[in-house]
Amino acid sequence: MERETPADPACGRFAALVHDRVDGTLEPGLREELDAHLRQCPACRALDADLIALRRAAAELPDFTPRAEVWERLSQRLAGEIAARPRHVWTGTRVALAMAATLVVAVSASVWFIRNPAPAPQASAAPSGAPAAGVIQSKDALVQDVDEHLRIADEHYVKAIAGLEQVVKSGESALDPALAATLQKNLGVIDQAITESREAIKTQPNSQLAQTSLFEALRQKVALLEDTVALINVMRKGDQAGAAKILGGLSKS
Amino acid sequence: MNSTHRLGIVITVAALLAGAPARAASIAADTPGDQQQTEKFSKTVPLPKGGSLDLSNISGDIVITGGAGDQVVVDAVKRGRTAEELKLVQIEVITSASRVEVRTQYPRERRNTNVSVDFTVTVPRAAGVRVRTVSGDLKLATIDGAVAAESVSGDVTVTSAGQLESARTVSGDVMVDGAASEGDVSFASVSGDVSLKGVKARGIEANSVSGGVELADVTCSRAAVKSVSGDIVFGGPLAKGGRYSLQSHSGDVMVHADGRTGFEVAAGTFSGDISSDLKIVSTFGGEPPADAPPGRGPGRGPGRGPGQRVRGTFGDGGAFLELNTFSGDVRLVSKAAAKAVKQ
Repeated sequence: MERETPADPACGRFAALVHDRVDGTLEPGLREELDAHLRQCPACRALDADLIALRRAAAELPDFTPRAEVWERLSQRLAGEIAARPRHVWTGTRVALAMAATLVVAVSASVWFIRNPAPAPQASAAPSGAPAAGVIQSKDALVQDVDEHLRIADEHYVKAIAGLEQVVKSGESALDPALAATLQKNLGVIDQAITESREAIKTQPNSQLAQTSLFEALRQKVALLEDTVALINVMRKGDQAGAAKILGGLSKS
Repeated sequence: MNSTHRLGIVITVAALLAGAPARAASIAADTPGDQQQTEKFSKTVPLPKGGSLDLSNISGDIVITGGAGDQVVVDAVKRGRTAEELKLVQIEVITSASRVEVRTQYPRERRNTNVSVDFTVTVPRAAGVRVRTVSGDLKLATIDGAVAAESVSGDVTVTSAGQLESARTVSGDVMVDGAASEGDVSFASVSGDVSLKGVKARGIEANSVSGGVELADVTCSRAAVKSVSGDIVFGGPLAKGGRYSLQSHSGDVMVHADGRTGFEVAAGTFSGDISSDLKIVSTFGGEPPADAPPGRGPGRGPGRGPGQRVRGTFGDGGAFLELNTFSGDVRLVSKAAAKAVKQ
């Protein structure tokens, strides 16, 4: 893995200050000192540029985060009933989904970075043979990281979906058969989208459109499944007001 | 809607409300030759200015209309197999200082209560209305207060709503003709179409899984529209600084642009086409695969074949359009061209 080397032994400290500035937590008194270092250190200057680019990219990303309000709502509703089902399934599903969403956000930022790289830093003034300090990953390394993160995010989504499907399967009889069939049919529509996206990724692994389409479809499937679970539980209780309230989240994908 | 489907849910929900497991039962009311019993209900209660109606039902159609006066007039018809069965289902009208609550109560101790209740309600035009049902069509008209309408299985139709907040269903269509909101308004169906006409709001969110989503003559500064397998059509003036995101997996995405407001567009399709009647100045022309045939490289403009991403500008680029579909087409259609096609 190629890495830029720091020009100055003090780079470790300045790298921390670069992070602080990007995060908006840099103490005003240290700004001038940092700027002075950046003027004479290409490696730290590149790090600064990269972090700013990544931050901008992250800010422009679509909302891939799981719907917190849904988890909160479901958790409340299920509190009294979930004990009857294998608890580890639900907990594992939540963790898997959260991890998948986090990975997708991270990967999206990386993809953006790879496609819009910061200008290459000037030749380092560091002496040859200086120890690598892990400041910047090469493009190839980032691509490998992205592929790996996408694979892991996919796995987490699949795990989350499997957990939710298990819960739905165990409680689907609480729904009217026609409604259950409608929901299953639409889950099938999303499955088709997932399958097509996967096929597209096989033929064009670097297609951002195909990757975005896959994760959007996975997210929509999770959303519909979690709402189905909520509806099942409310129907079981015979809570008509609750059933209608669940609609507030249905298909909000 | 399909009545068999509707009544199936009635039975289930009635059984559920009785605390019993859902069991299919004969649909007496819809079976030819069976007698259907009905029972009428009527009640009028005052509702002061600024008040609201909250109506929840299990099965049956609901029509709510805004009108003059300061009263809520509730007319209902219970339908079932026997008079005894009808008596088991109660309609409660609860009033407080600024709220009228109407709800249908099914017996908890009795299984298979096969009764539906149709409501026809008149409210003061300025009243707020929140209505929910499990199985049944909802129709609301000429209401200026805040409106939220939700059904599990049934169509939701809203006409002339002054402060619409949401219209949703799982199995059914959502149709809105003439609505406004000072904030954001959301529309959703899982299996049906979402059709909006003449909606004015700050933000519009509209979703369907297998249905299409059509927005005609809508005015908003933010729109987020998604469908998995349906087409998406957007028509209406674009706001300077507005952001419009339309996304489908296998459906087409089409925008009818009047050409009066400039926009920047980022469009993508994996295997469909991108085309435009409007003269887009392309700033980014594609995401060609490594083994792409000649002519599929960056720099090409819209309208030249499948599998591409395009970024470009029309006019001053004041609004932003994000148009994506996986296997459908993306089309930017000038309003004049669209009119000509219609004629």
